[in-house]
Order: sequence, then structure tokens, then C-alpha cells
Amino acid sequence: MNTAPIEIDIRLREIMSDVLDVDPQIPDDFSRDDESGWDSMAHLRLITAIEQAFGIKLTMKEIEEIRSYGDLRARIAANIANTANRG
Amino acid sequence: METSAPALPQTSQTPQTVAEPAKKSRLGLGTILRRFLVPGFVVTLRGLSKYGAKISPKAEVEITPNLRLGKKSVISSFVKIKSKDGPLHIGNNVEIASFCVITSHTAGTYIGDDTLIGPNCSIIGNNYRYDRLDVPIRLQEKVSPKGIRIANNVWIGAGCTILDGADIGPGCIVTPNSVVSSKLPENSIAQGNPAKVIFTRR
Repeated sequence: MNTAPIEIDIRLREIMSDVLDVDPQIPDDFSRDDESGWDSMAHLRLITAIEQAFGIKLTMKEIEEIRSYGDLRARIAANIANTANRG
Repeated sequence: METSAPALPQTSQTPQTVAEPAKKSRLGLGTILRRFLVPGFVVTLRGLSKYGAKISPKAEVEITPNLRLGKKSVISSFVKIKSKDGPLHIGNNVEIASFCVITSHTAGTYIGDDTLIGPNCSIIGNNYRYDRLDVPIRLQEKVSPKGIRIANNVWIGAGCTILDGADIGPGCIVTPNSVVSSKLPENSIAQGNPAKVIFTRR
């Protein structure tokens, strides 16, 4: 696995500020309740952008469970680790 | 004494180079019968007996040979369905909410089974040519080269506009207020004007 956690943070913040149109200085406890623009459609756009950027594929259940920035980061890291282990 | 006739207003001479089409009166006998002499409840009863579909008495469904309705489809009040110009097929278990307008032209409008159509949607199967500047658009030919295909199990949100050329694949979701006039692959979720795929259902 060669994607360091810090790199995930940087790219994730970039994608989120781009898709959700928010300030790139996203706090660690940023959640869907804080941002009215993060509605279900924006969530799907965000997931599509993240999947393309990181080359991962999330299940529908995982997508529904993601409620915050922390959830997203953990999910991406776990997925990258899984793919690396399998590959 | 002001007895002189009021001066005629200087009407701007709009170039009327094209005569009205030969089929001048669009209010033929069939239209009159369909539109004025058939009460809503008759259409409701006919829909139930002929197609097994539930049509609200307040909906305006023109019963023409082009129209085909599936079993157990629901057409809510204030829906206008116009199938005079071409085939209009609606599948089984389709639910059409209030204030929708559905029209068809020669290439046809086809709506698959189990599809949901939200309120205020417009599904417009005809298109006008606009390649001549000297002829009013309304008198130029009506075209619909591609038609509208909506597959099975599609969910169309409120206020969407579906235009000629739309080909919505099975399992698609079109988010509210989107405009579709092209192909959407199956199971996609599309948004915007023009509608773009933002996610694929899994």
C-alpha cells in the first residue's frame, strides 16, 4: 500500500471542496449535518468523484453509512488496504 | 365634430408568404367527439374495462387508436395524454402523477412497465423544424426523428422534461427538474439540464 494517510487527506479535501463547493479547510469532524449542500444527490456525486480518484468501489450499504468526513476517510483507507492485500 | 372614422392603426405588415396549410381546421369531428362530448367518467370506465388501467375522471386522456395502456397503470387527475399524432404506449403498473403532459409523434413515445413519473413532468414527443426564416415556426413541419423510449422500472422525479431523442435505460432515476433528450445507460442516476449521469446504481 503506497497511499499514505496524509495523501488521502489532501486529495479527499480537494475533492470535497470541489464537489460540495465548500472551503478547502475542512475540519476533521465535518459531517452531513453541518453542510446543507451535502444532500443525497451531492453525496452520490461525491462518491462517484472519490471512486474515480482513488480507483475504489464502494457498496451501496457502505455509501449509505458514510455520514461525515471521518467516515469517508476511514472507508477509503480500508478499501485501499483491502485492494492492496488482495492484489 | 369628430365624425371622421378613427384612423386605422398602422398594422405592421408581417410577411405572410406561406398560406395556411390545407388542413386548416384542426377541429375535426374526431377531435370534437374526443374532447367535448366524452365525459371524464366515460374515459375512466373505458380505461378500466379495455386496459385495466385507473384513469382519474379529471385527467384528459384522448382515446385514440394510437394509445395503448398497460394493466393496473394509474393516471392521476389533471394529466393530459395526447396521442393523436403517433403511437403512445404505456406499460403495466405505471404511475403517472398529477399535472403531467405526455404527447407522442410519428416516432412514438414508449413507457415501460413499473415506471414512476412524478408530478408536473412533460414528456414531449414532437419537435418543430426551424430551418426556414421566412416561415413561422408553427407552420414548419413537425418532426420527431427519434421518439422517446423510457424502459421498465424508471423513476422520473417531479418537474422533469423528457424530449424527443430521450432513451432512458432500465432502472434509471432522473432527479427532479432535469431535462433528458439523449440516451441514459441502465441503472444510472441522472441530474441537470442536460441530464448527466452522476452515479450508477449497484
